[in-house]
Amino acid sequence: MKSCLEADSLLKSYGHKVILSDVYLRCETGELVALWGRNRSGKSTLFEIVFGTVRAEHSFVRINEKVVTGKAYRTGQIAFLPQYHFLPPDLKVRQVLRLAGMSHVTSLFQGGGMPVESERLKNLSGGTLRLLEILYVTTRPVPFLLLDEPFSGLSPVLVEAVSHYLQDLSKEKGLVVADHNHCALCAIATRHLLLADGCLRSLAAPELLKGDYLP
Amino acid sequence: MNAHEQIRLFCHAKFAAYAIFYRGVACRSLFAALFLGGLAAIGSADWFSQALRLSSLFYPTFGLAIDAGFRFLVRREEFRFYQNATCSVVELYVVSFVISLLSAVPFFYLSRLL
Repeated sequence: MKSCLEADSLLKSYGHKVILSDVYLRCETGELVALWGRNRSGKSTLFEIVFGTVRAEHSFVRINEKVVTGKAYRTGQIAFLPQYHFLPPDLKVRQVLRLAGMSHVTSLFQGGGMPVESERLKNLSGGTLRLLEILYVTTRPVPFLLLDEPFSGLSPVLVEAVSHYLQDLSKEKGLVVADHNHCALCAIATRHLLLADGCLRSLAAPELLKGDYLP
Repeated sequence: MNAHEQIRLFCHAKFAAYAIFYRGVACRSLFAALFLGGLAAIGSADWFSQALRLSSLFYPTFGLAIDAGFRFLVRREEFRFYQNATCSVVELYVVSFVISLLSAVPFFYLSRLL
């Protein structure tokens, strides 16, 4: 049975600038939704509001037709990969792998860069840390994942490995992914959304991004 | 993944998050409590027992407050890690306060015996 995440009537402004104006987002399990938008268009804010860590002037989140009254992350139905590093730096790689439920090297690390398990996260490179963050978030036992710039800081080989990994994951989970790596995301997305001028528009094809997003 | 396995993973992640959070709290709080307790006990006749008594009082209070200040100012983004394990900030600090209080009680009574 398919699950469905809906965020409706999202309204957010900073001062006089309206970031999100009556936005509607829908994602079902089994699909990978690409969220496009220029810098400062409000993609991260949208994710944070849906996740429940930023308060909007108005927001309405539903999971499987059930209205989420509190913070969505408390429901255990949604996980969020922010664009910044968020894992506690004092943790060891081993602990993250254990939390991710995997004590062995996964397919994510086949492209190289598997860190030493006794290494602390603060000593890792940005790309390796990003891989561990992706691993941690994507292995949460939740049906929906919000991924904000998952490809940032990754080498092309790792971008490809992560792309395949996310594509496999989208068969059982619902993913909403925002990233500026146009080629990688276009190749795996099943649906495209464009956030511009505070409004979220559905695009029939990624070619329609020209002008609003692509040069 | 079946429902039982999902609940197991959910609980494991939550308790692991509490443990990881409290480990950080304990380090900073203990250091702050010992420092403040030692400082406040200067001049008292029985410095050691007074410092121990005050430190055990400061550990779940000022220690926790100092840790909260540090995290909110320097490591705010770390909260996303705990939120991904369905733990809210308030919940984390309530759990930490209870554990800190319980671990400070024996030291408080020990200081009265000395």
